[in-house]
Amino acid sequence: MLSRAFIRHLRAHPWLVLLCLVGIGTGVSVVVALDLVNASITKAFDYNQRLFDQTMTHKIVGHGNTLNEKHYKTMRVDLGVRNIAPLVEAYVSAYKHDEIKFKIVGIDPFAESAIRPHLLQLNANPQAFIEATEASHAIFMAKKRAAALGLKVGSTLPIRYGFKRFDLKVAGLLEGPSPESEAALADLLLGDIAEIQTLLEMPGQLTAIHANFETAPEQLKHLQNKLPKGLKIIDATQDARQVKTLTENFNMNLDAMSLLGLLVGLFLIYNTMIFLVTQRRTLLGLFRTHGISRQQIFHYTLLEALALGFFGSLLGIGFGIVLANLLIDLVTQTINDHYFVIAVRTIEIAPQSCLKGLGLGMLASLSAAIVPAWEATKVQARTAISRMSLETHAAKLVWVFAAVGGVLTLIGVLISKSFPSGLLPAYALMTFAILGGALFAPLLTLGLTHLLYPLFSLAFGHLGRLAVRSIQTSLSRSGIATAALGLAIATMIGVTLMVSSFRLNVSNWLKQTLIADIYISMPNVISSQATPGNISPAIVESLKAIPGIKKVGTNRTMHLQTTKGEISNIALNLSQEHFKRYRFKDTRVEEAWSKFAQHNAVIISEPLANKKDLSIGDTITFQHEDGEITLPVGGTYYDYSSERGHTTMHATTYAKYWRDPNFTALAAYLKDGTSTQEVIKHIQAALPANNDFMVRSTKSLQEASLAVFDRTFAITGVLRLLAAFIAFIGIISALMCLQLEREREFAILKAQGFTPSQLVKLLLGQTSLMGIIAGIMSIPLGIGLGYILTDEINLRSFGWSIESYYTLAPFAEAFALAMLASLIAGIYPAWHLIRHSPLSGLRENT
Amino acid sequence: MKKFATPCLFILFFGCQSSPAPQSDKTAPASFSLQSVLGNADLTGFARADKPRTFAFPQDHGPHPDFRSEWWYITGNVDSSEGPFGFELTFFRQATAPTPTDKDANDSAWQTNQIYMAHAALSDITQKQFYADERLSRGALGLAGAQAEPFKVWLDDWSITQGSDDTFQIILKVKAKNFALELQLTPTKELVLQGDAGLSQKGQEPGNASYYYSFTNMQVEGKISRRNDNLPVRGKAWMDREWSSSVLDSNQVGWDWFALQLNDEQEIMLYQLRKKGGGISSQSGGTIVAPNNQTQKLNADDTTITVTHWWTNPKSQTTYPAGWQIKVKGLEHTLHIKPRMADQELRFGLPYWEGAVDIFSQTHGQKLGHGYVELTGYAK
Repeated sequence: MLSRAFIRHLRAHPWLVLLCLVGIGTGVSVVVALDLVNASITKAFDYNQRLFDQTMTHKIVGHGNTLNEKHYKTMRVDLGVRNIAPLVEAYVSAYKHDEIKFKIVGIDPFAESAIRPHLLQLNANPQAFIEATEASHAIFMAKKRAAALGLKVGSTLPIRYGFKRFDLKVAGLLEGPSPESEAALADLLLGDIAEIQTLLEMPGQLTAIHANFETAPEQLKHLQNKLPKGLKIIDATQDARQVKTLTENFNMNLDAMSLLGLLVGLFLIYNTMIFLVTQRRTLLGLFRTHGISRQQIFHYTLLEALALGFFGSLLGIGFGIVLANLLIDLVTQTINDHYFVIAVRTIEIAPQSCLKGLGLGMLASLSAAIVPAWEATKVQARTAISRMSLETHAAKLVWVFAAVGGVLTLIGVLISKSFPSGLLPAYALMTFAILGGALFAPLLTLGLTHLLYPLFSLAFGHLGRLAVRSIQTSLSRSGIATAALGLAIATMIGVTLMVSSFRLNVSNWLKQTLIADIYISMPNVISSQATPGNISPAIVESLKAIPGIKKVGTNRTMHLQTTKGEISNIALNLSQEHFKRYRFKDTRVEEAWSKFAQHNAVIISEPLANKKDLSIGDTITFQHEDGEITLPVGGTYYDYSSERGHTTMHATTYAKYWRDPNFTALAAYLKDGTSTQEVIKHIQAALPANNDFMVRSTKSLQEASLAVFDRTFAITGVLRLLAAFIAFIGIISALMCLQLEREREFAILKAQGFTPSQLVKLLLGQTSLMGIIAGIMSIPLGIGLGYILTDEINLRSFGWSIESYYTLAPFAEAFALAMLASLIAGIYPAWHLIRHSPLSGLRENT
Repeated sequence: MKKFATPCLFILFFGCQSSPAPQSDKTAPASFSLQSVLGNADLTGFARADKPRTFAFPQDHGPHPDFRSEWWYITGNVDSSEGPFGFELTFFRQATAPTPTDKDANDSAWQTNQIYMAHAALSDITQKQFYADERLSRGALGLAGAQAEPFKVWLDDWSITQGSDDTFQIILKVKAKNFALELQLTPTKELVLQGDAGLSQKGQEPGNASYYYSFTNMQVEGKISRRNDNLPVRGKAWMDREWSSSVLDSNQVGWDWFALQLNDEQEIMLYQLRKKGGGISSQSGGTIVAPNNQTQKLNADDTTITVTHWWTNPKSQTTYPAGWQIKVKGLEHTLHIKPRMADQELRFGLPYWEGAVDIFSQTHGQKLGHGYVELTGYAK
């Protein structure tokens, strides 16, 4: 009987059901979409890994970006280590094919057979590989990818590596035995080591030596005992994990966003459930008089929530799959920009992601329904009709809620303060603060209505006073509705604040750091990888000769092995004047300069300091072919160029220990009164012909850097829009419910002689008032959330401290959204009000 | 002559080395044949064995990179406290292109047109256990190669090196899967030029020939190990050196090759080239080396080789001859050749049988010596 009655009730309110489902669905969809995207990327990554590394147990690397190939000969011929294979690899772009990025890998097929026999069986025509060793720039690529790019055997694939362009020749096509290996092959260009080594200009050098010691542990032991100096054996599984952690922070940030989405969704569910309960007070009262127990009512209300959660989640999974397909390009773009090349073109619908969404959606619905269900059991036959009792109760509870909210927020703060690293405490803080903020909402609503009362009274007279009072007297509903609304808006504000502050920090930092007039660099395919190629000292000399150039700044960026893992190191020939542009966190710039310039100190970027737990006074030990080099840390500087961080040393320090005459990027400082454009032309003329050097003015470099930033945060933008959508739905559903509930009130007023226009005004006054209250409430909440996202989550995941900047725009935007939504929310009840006779409204509620 | 079978495996490295277990039953792609490597492919730019040459030592012990194929081939029978063993160690060189690429300073040290392959096998006659392993590498970066002075041919940590300055004493070192060889070989007889003063004609067409010399009698001393044991051994070995750019005519499918060492210090080398559809090529032949090092060239009609037994390897389903009756003009006995054990098939990319044999007198039954037989072109 109970379930039939509940279903009938739901049928009578289709809009309510729809809003509820959309609310749950949207929350779930964000979770599902991000989970699917993550799963697809992880899967693609694993396939790529597996293709190359499934049979690899160890990796032998040097202490720089490469190792000397003579060690390989030593291992094979002198030490008799057999299960090893040399490798040279790099990332290249196919500049005539939309700058598609490929990983180009040079292998020795003779050695591969002991490590990766499967790799050699991918090609239908084995003879071609031998022939390829004789052809110039011959490569093998995936058959499907080739077909997609309109390439076949014999075709030319133009690529860029460093600043140079090459025409690769497609010598053969690879076919994987499964769709997965096909996908993994898509990013790969495979060639003979001799060819690729020459092409990548790394004569005598290897990227790594891969090994499979699974069946030959004695070889590993032998190698460990006799390992040539300057080499390191890395466990392959550990290595794969390290590459994976590259994107972990990025994924965690996405997770934070989806958590936020779900949290906001939770409030929507709560709101809908409590509304359903309120709507049924009469019905529930009746049931109670018929002897139905509280327990039964409790169970049925929860069951209903579960059912709504189930169908809402199903809807959410559907949305999520659509959304995932929209997001995948944005996410892979970011990963390809910053971490590694991966081609994921389609979303695989992972059942576990869908189940996770379903579970979370139902759990959220259930937990959001506990309070309303409990409330439903409180309905006494006698008092069911009087809501006053509830509201009187609510007014008292306002303070209790606020106190609990305060305590929750405090707990969140305590957790995050007690655990200063790791993302989980920050998530805890976010969750507790959001819950705490929501519990504060009724008190804030009450307080704000008191403040707004004179204002509304003055502006709208009697109707205005009535509107404010009605909100006050229905606090148990309006408080929650405004809380949901305020929270949704606060989410938007928080995310916007984080991104805009971050962008401003980056932009200021760029202005501060980019002080030369012209920058000459090589296109870097992936930012977390070492920039390929070398700029020779001869090029520097030729630039110095250009009239108008006062000074040429040099930058050598190399990934170096240290006892704390691989670190990207920048060697700069900085003058004191330029050094002063650095902002230090823990020391005065003058002190840092003397250590940097005179005592071989390195300065470290903030993310590195945070990630490797380093600070001024510590030392970093670089591993070098000739032994170890220990250098002091002279200070920590603010830097947004890499989340993995950098060490920076003076060019003289680098030259002292590393025999590397080349450069990665150059900067030209111009004499006063020289035209930048003129000099750029001269520089381009002085550089080797047919090259892909990027010669950019400071301004265009700044713009380009910010463009990458914007691309990276495009996904955040999408999520913010989603949060806005959830907020919008939330506001509409909350307010609409509230107004529908007020039908009886309006019926009485209508009976008392209020004109329809007066009633509509009153109704819209009420909703807009709630919009205003939510808007005001969202300001502190939004700032708080912005703080958590910026100073807790971002700092903890990327290691960047970001100074918060507050601009009016996000607040105004959020406020406008709240107002718009509240007005829209008033439309249906207003229409309902005009169409229905007052008597029906009265009857319905008696 | 002999052993041009295996160089074609160079092309098969995709398949043939896929399993670290030496005796994997992986079958080679059917598209490969001896012809693809030793036949008359496009040979433009390669040197040819089309006229007699003046051999010069020690230079000719080293590589001849202008020719397409070359091998250093050692087989032998030794005795130990745990019974007799047969062994094989071969280094093959194959050029993928005629002229070595002109190197400039920026070129990769991996660039090469020379590819090396090595086969090693050990036949444990008492235990009836056959061990075999192979290695493959490019002849670059010092990973594999050959040189005349001091003589050395190597691939990874397998090598044949010169042990003494004045004689052609050599040291074999092999650490293979499940077995190892460390043997010192000292020639007890002079070097023998095979064919016509070292020019060994194999096909009808001019140039389908090789330069070929042998050490037919070498004293072996050293140790072998199966898994982890270590056995001192003594015995006799045979070394063949051969280089060419093409040997087979288009109608030749394989060959049977015999290296026989008789107890009376005579050695006999025999080969017969089998034609497509049956029959023996008229280019078949051999050499008898007398105890005093006198050599006698044998033509196709100087010998009669009759197969008396056949053996099918259950693992590869390949059927090989497994017993012969051999009549050689001018030789006192009719020889009965019998494998010392049946399974001595090297199941690599292109399988072949290379095994230790006993030599008996057909008439009296007494044992006359030991030898090695190679059978190619039988695998389907």
